[in-house]
Amino acid sequence: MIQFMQDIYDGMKTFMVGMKVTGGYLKDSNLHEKETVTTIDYDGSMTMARDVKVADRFRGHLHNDIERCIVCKACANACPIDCFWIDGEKTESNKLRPSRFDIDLLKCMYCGLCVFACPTGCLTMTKEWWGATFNESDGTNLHGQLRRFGVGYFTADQKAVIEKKRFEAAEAKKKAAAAAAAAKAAAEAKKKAEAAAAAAAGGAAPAAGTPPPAAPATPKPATPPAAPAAPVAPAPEAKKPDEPPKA
Amino acid sequence: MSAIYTLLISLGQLEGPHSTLVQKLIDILSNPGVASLIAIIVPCLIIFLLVQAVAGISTYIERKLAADIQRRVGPNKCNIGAFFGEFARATVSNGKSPNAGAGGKLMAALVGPLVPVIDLVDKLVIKLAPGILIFLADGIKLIMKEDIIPDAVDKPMFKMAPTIVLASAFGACAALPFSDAWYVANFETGVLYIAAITSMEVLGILMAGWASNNKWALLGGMRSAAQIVSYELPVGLALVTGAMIAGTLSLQGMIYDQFGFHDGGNGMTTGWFWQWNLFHPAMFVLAPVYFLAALAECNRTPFDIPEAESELVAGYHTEYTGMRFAFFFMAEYAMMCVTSALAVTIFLGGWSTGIGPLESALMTNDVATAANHWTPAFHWYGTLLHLIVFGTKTYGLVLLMMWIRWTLPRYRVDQMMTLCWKKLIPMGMACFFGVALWMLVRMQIVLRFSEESLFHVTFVLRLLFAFGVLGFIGWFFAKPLTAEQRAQREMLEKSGLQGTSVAQ
Repeated sequence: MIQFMQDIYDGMKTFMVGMKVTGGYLKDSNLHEKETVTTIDYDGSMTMARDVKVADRFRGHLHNDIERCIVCKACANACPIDCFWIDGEKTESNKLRPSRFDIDLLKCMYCGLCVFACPTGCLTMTKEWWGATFNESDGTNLHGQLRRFGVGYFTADQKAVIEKKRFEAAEAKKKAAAAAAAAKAAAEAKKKAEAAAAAAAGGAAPAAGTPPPAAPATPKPATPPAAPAAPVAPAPEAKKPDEPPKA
Repeated sequence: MSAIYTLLISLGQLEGPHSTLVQKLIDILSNPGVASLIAIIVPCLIIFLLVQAVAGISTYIERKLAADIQRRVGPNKCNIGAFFGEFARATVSNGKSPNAGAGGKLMAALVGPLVPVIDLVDKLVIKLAPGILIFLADGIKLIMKEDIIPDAVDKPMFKMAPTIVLASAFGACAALPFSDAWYVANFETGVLYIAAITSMEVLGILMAGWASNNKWALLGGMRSAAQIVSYELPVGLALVTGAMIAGTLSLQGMIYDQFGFHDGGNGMTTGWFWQWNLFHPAMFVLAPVYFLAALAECNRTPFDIPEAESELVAGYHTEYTGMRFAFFFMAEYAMMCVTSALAVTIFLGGWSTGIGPLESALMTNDVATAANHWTPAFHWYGTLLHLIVFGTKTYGLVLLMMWIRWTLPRYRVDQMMTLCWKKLIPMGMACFFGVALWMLVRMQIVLRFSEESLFHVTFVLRLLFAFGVLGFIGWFFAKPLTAEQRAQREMLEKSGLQGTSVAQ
C-alpha cells in the first residue's frame, strides 16, 4: 500500500516536473526570432546559408590541402565505406605526390575517421555543408556522384597532359564517328541509288540523289564541353585504389 | 437539434404577404416531418465539417507546439500569400495575356480585387500563425494520393476499417452537450451511448490490423485491442462515479448538477466553478485517471503503442495510403476532441462559465426558481457564450494532450498494462466505492439534519479545496526552477549554438 502511494506520488511528481520543463519552452512564443533556437527560418537563399552558424565540431565537406599530402593512403584505409580514390606518382626528387585525390561525397558519411588517420593533418573537415546543386555542371557535382574538394587534384603539368590526351582521344573519337557516319551514308546512298536504278526500269524514277536524313554533314560535338578546369574522371569500373603509382 | 426544429415550425406560423412560391416553401419546411429531418441532417453536416476543420487545424497547432517545445521553427512556408496569393496573381496575369479566353478574363476580373485583400490578410496572419495553411496542403496531398489496396489484403474489411474508426469518433459527437440549448441530441443515457460508441473504434483498428495481412499491422491491432479494452475500465469507473454523483446518465443532467442547485436554495450559490465535479474529492482523484485512460483510448503518446513507429512500422495503418490513412488520422483528432469534451462535461462543468453572477445574469427565468426546480433557461447570447466556453475548455484539454505528447516518452507494453491494472483501476475502484459509501452516509446526514445545512458545509469545503488545488498548481508552475534544473536547461540552450559562421 505504501509502495502504491509512493509510486503514484513519484509518477505525479516527475510528470509535473516534466510538464513544467516543456511548458517553459512552450511559454516562449515567437521562438524563431530568438537566438537560442537551433533551427533557423530558412528562405532558401545562398546568402542566408552562408550566414548560418554551425556547431564548433560540425563535420562538413572534406578538404585536402594537396600540397602537404604524402599519398600514404591512411585515410583510404581508415574509411569504412571506401569513398576515397587516391593515386600517387614520384616526383623528380623521388618523393610521392598525389596525382589524384577524389572523395565520393555521396558515399561519405562524414564520420571523420580519415581526418584522425591523416599523419600530416592535411585532410580536414570544413564547416561547408552546402552540397545541393541545381545541375551537374555547377562544378561541385561531377559525374553525378564524384565530388572533388581540395586545392589540386592534379599538378598543373599533369593536368595539361591529361587534358591534352583527353582532347586527342575525343578528337579521334569524333573523327572515327564522322568517318563511320560518312561511310554509312555513302553505303546507304549507294544502296538507294541501286534500288532507284532498279525501279527506274518502270519509268517514273524518283530522284535518287537525295541522301537519307541520317547523314549529317557535320558530326555533333561528341561530348559536352566538360568543364576544362575539372577534368572528367574515368568510368567507375576502372577504379583501382591499390594501383602502384605511375613512374 | 431542437432549436432548428422549433425555428422551422415557428416559421410556419408567420403571418404576412408571401408570394405563393415562398409560402409553399415555408409550408414544406414547417411540416413536422420535414422539419425534424432537416433538424437531424443540418447538425450532422455541421459537426462533420467542424470535426474535419478542427482535426486539420489541430495538426498545424500540434506541429507548432512540438516545434516550440523542441526549439525548432516548425511549419512556416505555406502561408496565405503563398497559397492563395500566388494563385490569384497567376490568374490575374493569365487574364491579361492576349490569349486569354472569356473564362480566363472573367476569373481575372473576379480574383483581381481580392489580391490586395489576400496580401493584407497574409501580412496579419503571417505574424500570428506562420505556415497556417499547411493542413490544407496536407489535405490536398492526401486526397490526390493514389489509393493503394495491396493484393493480399482482405478487401472488404480493409476498406471498411477506416470508416468504422471515423464513424465511432463522429458518432460520439451526437450526444455531446455543446451548449444548453444547442446540441444534436440529449439522450437520457448519454454516458452509456458515448462509452459504447467510442469503444467501436477498437473494432475498426483491429479490422485494419487483421485485414492488412501484415505482421506489423496485426501486432499494432492486437496491441490496440489489449490497450483499449483495458483502459475502458478506468474510463468506465470515472463515468459511473460521475453518474452516481449526478444521479443521471444524461450529459446535460450532469452539467446541471454541477451548477450547485439544491432544494430551497436562493440561487446565490449557483454556477460557481468550485461546484464542478473536479473539486469533488473523489472526482479529483478520478480526473487524472480518466484523462490518462482517455489518452490511451485515443492512442496518443505516451500510449501510442499500437502505432509505435520505432517498433512497428506504423502499426495498424501501415498499409493504408491517401484518404484512407487520413481517415485514421482524422479519427485520432476527432477522438481527442470527443474524450476531452466528455472530460469537460463530467469534470469541468460542461458549458458552464464557472462565474455565478454571470450565469445568473444569462438566465431568463428567476434564479431561485431555477435553482429549486433545476430548470435554468438561458438567453440566446447566454447559449452562444456557453458554446464558446465549451469549445474553449475542450480545446484546452486537447492542447494539454498535445503538451503531454511532446513531454513524455512512450510506455513499454508491460508498463502500460501495469499502469492500467495496478494503478488506475485500484484508484478508480477506491473512488467508486468511496463515493457509494458517502452516498449512504450522506442520506443519513440529510435525514438527521437538513439538506441545506449539508450543502452549505460542502460548499465551503469545496471552495477551500478548489482554491487550494488551483493555488498549488499555480505555485508549482510559477516557482523558479531549481539550480540543477536551471543549469541543465542552460547547458541545453548553449549546446550547438556557439558555432562559428560558415562564411570563411
